[in-house]
Amino acid sequence: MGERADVSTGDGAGRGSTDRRWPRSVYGVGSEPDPRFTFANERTFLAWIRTGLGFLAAGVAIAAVSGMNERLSVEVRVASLLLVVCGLACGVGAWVRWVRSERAMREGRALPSSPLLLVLVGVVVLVALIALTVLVLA
Amino acid sequence: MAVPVADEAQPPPWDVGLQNERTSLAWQRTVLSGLTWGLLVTRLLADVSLTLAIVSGVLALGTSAAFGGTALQRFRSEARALAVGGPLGDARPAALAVLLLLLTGVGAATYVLLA
Repeated sequence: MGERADVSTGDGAGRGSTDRRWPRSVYGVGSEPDPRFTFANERTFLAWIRTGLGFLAAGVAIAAVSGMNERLSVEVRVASLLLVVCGLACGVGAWVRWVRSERAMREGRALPSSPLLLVLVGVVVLVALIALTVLVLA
Repeated sequence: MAVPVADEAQPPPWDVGLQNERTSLAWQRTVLSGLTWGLLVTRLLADVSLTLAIVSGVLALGTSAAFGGTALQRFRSEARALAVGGPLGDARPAALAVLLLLLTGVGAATYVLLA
């Protein structure tokens, strides 16, 4: 991760005296990390949000395209729901990951790990298997 | 990479590695991604229900415009904070982005269940 350098606050603010940033569970502990790491954490959060948006759109698209000419089959509905749930998980995971990482940086600890990526890969493989089954049996 | 430190002769670079600009671009990518997927979903929903499509389109355009403005404002306030060595912005825009994603997800799940 590199050395953590405290950002000097020229005007004396940001060290807790008048810091009212939200959430307090993050900004109320530790000290200000190198701004580069904070920005990097924010960019990673946004990447997870974009991933979540992609999952949501894929779930809706599959259901919409499959339901154009006929009633949705159970398999398609399950696959779509799995993708939508992945999107929701990305949203929640993005926030949790951001909070835990920012707090770890402020306290000088190692960044936390997360099984979210492995879970998402597993669900995507499952959806692909469902799609394969539907194609083979159609 | 060595972290630049201030000395009496000159202050440190106020935006090492152009982090603020890169983060602002990440916000713009996210806004564009949301708008693109939102309009795609709107187009798909138009074949299913015109009402749902209109609601989806209006929401996609409205939230994209709002977040685009937020991203610009954040870029300016973060630049000011970096220049004076003050604290960076907090997590309210991020929390709002998560909330919107979750609301969109609930809407998407409702559509999939009822379609």
